[in-house]
Amino acid sequence: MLRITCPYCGERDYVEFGYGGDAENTMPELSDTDIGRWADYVFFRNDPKGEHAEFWHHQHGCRQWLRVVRNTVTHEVISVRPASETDAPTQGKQVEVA
Amino acid sequence: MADIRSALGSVYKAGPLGTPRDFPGVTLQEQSPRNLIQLSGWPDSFGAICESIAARLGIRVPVDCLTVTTHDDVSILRVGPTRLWFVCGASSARVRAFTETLGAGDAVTTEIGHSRTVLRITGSEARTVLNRGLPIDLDDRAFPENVFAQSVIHHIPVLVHRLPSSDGPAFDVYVSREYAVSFWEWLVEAAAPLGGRILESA
Amino acid sequence: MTSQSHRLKTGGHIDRSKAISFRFDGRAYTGFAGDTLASALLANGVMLVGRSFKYHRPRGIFTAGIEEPNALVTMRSGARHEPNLPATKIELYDGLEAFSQNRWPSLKHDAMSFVDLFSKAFAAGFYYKTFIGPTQGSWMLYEKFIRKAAGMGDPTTQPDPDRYEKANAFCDLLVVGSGASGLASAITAGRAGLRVILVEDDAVPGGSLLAAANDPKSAGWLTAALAELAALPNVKVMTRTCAFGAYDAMTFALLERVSDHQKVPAPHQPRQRYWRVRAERAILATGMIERPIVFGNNDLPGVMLASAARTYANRHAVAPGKRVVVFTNNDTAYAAARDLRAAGADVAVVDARARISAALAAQTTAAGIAVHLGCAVGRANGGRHVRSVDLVPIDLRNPQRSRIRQRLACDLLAVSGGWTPTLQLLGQRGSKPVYDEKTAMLAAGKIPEGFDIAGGAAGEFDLTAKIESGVRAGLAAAAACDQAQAAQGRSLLEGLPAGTTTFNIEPLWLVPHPLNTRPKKRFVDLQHDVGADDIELAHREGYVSVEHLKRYTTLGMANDQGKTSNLNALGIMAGIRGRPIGEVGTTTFRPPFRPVSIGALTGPETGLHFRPIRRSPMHDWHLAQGAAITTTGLWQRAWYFPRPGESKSDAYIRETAKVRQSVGLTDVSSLGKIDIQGPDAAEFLNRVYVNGFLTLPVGRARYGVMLRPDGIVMDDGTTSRISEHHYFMTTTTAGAGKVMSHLEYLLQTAWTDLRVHVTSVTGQWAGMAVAGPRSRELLEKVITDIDFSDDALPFMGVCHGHAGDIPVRVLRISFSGERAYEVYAAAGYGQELWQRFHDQGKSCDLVVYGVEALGALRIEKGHVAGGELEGRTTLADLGLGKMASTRKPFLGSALMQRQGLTDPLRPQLVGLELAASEGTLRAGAILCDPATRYSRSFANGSPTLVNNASGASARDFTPGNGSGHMGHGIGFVSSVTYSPELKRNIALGFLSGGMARKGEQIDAVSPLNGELTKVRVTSPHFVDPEGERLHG
Repeated sequence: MLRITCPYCGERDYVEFGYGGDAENTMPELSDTDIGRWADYVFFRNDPKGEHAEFWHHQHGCRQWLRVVRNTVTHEVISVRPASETDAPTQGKQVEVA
Repeated sequence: MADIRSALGSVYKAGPLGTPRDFPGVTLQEQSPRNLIQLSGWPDSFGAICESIAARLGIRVPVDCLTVTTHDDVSILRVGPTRLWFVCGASSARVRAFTETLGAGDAVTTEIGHSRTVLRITGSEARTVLNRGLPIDLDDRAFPENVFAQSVIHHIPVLVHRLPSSDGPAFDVYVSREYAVSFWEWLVEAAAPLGGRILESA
Repeated sequence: MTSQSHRLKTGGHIDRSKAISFRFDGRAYTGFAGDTLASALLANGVMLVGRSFKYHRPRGIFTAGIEEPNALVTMRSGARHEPNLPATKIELYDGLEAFSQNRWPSLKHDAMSFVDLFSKAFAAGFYYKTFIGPTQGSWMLYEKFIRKAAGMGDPTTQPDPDRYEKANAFCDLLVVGSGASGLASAITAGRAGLRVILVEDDAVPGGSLLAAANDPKSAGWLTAALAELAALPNVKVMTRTCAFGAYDAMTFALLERVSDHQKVPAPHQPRQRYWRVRAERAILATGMIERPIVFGNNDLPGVMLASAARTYANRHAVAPGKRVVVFTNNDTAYAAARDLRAAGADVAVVDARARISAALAAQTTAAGIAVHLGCAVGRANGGRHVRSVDLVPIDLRNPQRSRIRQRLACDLLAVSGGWTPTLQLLGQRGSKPVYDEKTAMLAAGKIPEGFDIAGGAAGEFDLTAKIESGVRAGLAAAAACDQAQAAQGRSLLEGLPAGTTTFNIEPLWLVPHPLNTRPKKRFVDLQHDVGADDIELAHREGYVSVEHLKRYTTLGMANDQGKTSNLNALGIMAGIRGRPIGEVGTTTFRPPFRPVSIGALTGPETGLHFRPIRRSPMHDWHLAQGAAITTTGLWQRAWYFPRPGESKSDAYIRETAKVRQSVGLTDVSSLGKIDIQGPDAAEFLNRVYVNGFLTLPVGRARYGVMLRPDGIVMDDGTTSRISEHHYFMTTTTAGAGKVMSHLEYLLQTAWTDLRVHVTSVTGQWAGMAVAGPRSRELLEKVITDIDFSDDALPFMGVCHGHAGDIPVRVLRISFSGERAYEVYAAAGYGQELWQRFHDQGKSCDLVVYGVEALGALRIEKGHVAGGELEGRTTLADLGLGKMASTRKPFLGSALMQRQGLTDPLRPQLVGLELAASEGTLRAGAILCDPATRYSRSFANGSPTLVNNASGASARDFTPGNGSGHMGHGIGFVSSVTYSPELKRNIALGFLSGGMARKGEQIDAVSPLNGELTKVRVTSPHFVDPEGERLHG
């Protein structure tokens, strides 16, 4: 029964979210024809005991994809930020989006 | 224009609901179809769009995805970081006239009025019945008037807007049209123990 | 009706003016309002209430609470019949009907009680030892017998007639337990302005205050506390509610028993309500549970916890015995002894400790109670009820077997072996309790963030100490919620005397068998019939870890979850191993704290509400026309429109034929529809689809296929260009949600540079397909402002116009292979537009068709759909390899070229038809090569399979199959239909070798049906392979 603080909507129940998998791999450029790099992206996953970045989709909320850092042992949500952002995590705080 | 057919069709029947009470716990009413115009922009230019909305339509765009701003019969709900819903009555022409001035590079608009059924829930037990399914804190402190939330009830996506009201809590619930009958059936069953009535559609 | 022979004349929290009649095992009794079923049975002198799980031993009421291991009964009858409920938690109501369990023909004369005589054979590990190796087969034989012999109540097989609800709640502070400390916490936090929810499992708040002797000071305190709580609008008190689960992020699960205390729920009211509560903080004021001491025959009816005996006397005004022996190793049981004495019983205390304090001794003697120090109850005696106990001397520093010193006659043995704080909810959050030597308690370990404990849960015994700890926890919660405002109000300790309650426990887990007697069974887990011998056995056989011990003996695994037995088991195991208890460890607590009915967890999501249903804007019309409805994901779609007397196949064959002959109308509203807009929309589509989209002109549509990044086909559909930067995508019905999330994912994670917005408009648009040679004629009648000539609206053209006053979007596309159009209108006009097509269609020989005919039409054309786009197939598998653009990269273009996906032996799309006039084609059948078929041979005496081609033989391990085929085959059948056009059954399937095998005859095997059907490989394009009809 996770609670995830969406940067846009605030703290919400897990039922509003869809799990989107590992967020620690970056999709190769589309023009990259190297099967190995694509295979790395699609198939090879770290399975850390501890902090792990993963995508969650606020499916029933603002429909934004979020990059959630979660502790896989305690389920503690350490940070949440929009998937499109690459700067510092928002630490679960509400942000103004104007 | 042909009439817009209610998604609730024959399942909607006005009348008393469930356990009889002195004061109805819950009052349910289907709202007339809404003009719902969605405007989506991009982060770099969205601020400018918001300014021109304020200038042209006289409505301040909310800064967060929780607050509703209203002017005349137009309300703005910020349903995503750079996405707005204009919920409008007769003024929809003004809003459309405005959106038509925007180029695709600034913002794009989509009409979605037919895709939502709007149900109004009022009464002393309005919060109770919503929280039978809604995992959102509806307390005055957490969910004051003119706040909305997009969430899910009984696996059905909903948008719940707390209306300004001098007469107890009042909510408009926006439900995807194709789910409307299922949601209605759920709602009526959840409301029955609390007692109340179903009003004729607005 | 019998008189309430054991009811006290005065006292108790019962209402003697409200007599309540009830039945137990068919016999009528009376009790009073405020009784539980257990207290009412005791009031009537009924002590024998059940037979034990494994050995069918007689069992009585052992506790007065949720920890009850023995007195499980079946409640109600018919569809509401519910087994395994503790009588101690059932509130008495008028007309209550309960039944004892696990006995036949009657509770007093149980045919299975002989099992007890053979109990050695049924010790721990019985199943593992008995039914492995050569005797494994005998399990089949004995299972029925054993299952019947060992067990509890039977569930009903009828549907549950009651409603259940779910609810969400939010608070600053959740207080679990409404004893003195819980009330103090709730009042303190409530005064500070916190939103508080106080939950109490019992029907009334008060906790152990209700079990205390009627002392005006504590009773007054309770009354005042409840009055103050009731006046605090920010505090919600929930009785009959159990917090059974603590989950991530301070989420709690509660079970509210709304109507269990009534015969049937009031109209519209649920029976139970499952709450999910999100709290900022939680205080566990959950008290503690007493545990027994283990000795011979300790399971006899008439043996109960000392605290339970006290509760029955003080709270329910029942004397559970008239000659009482209290057996203890600590001071707390003396209160029970005094209260039972005050209730008029003869009482003796047997205390295993060598000495007690002078004050306690004086107080006890003054009450007229004899005390036997340095003694233990070696065994209890009696048949269906305890009649006497045998005392043995005991030295707690070194308990040894010794001779029986004395026999005391009694009809109640009240036992106290110490107390265990109720910390399961902390345990569920991963906080292991820690053994405290001084108090012989499993006390709270590291308390997780957000939690606090107070009162008995924190090891407090004394009333004032409990209240003080509750106040402290309440203030801490207020401070943590930034509500440090001074708590206004009187001191909660006002008027209470300073505490004097003492504990002084000296641990004793197991009393050795008395010398010179036949050892009697000593039960640790009463509910699962696990004895001290079983723990010794587990130890001998190497199951010394507590987790192994639990699973080997099933100790603590019954529905009481070992609430009275776990610590005794640890103590006994530690004793055997010669290790401190702290080193033996504890088992892991998991939700739920108490059994929770599946009905409550399911809530309203049954029947009509099993899952939500998505309906097309024309759904009502379909129903009115008598359409049969089928389910696709959450959608309900019109399956076929039977005429009177028509079967499903009659109907769809008629509909299919009519479409090809004149014109048909079908509802395609469930197709996923996505509005795609923005300056980079063309580029986006070009990346997502395998085929090119940059060159698609405005006013044209294109069929597209998209892949997953791993190169497998994800979905297909048609996308039309509405204007320069505006596209309208359709997806499959089943793929809509997945595709929408996928597009958003790409735009928000990988391709954030693209200025594109996607919006699901599935619900905004009603969609209908008009297909057949006369489709244009019909469209021209309904939509008058569009030029439907082939020049103006060619195949794959898109345009906008009006059907009278209804704006429409028309796409000239075809799924059926006929000239066809898809017409879209805003959903609210959908049914009206549909009706207009229907009305105008009368002169065009219109047929309305459903999903089944839609499927038949597309299979005839070899168009792929859900059966083919099933998450394992590639473009090439689908025969669409040529669609992939070679001039651009697209999502999946790299990995679709990986070795496994380009293997020429992958099954590829083919058409299939029956090779003979007879036979059944089934979707899901496995395609097999006749050349590798085996024949059965009995040549060497045992059935052997011989390969027809190679002569190789194999053991026949497929009895009943008989197809002679083994392994995975060379493909499978994906979709089947009867083709009215071809007048025969046809199918699509995937076959290794694909179209290279055209004309070959192969085997379609359906092992589940024991069928082997000869099929011939054909082109999947059964009808009009040249596509001429599109323009017909």
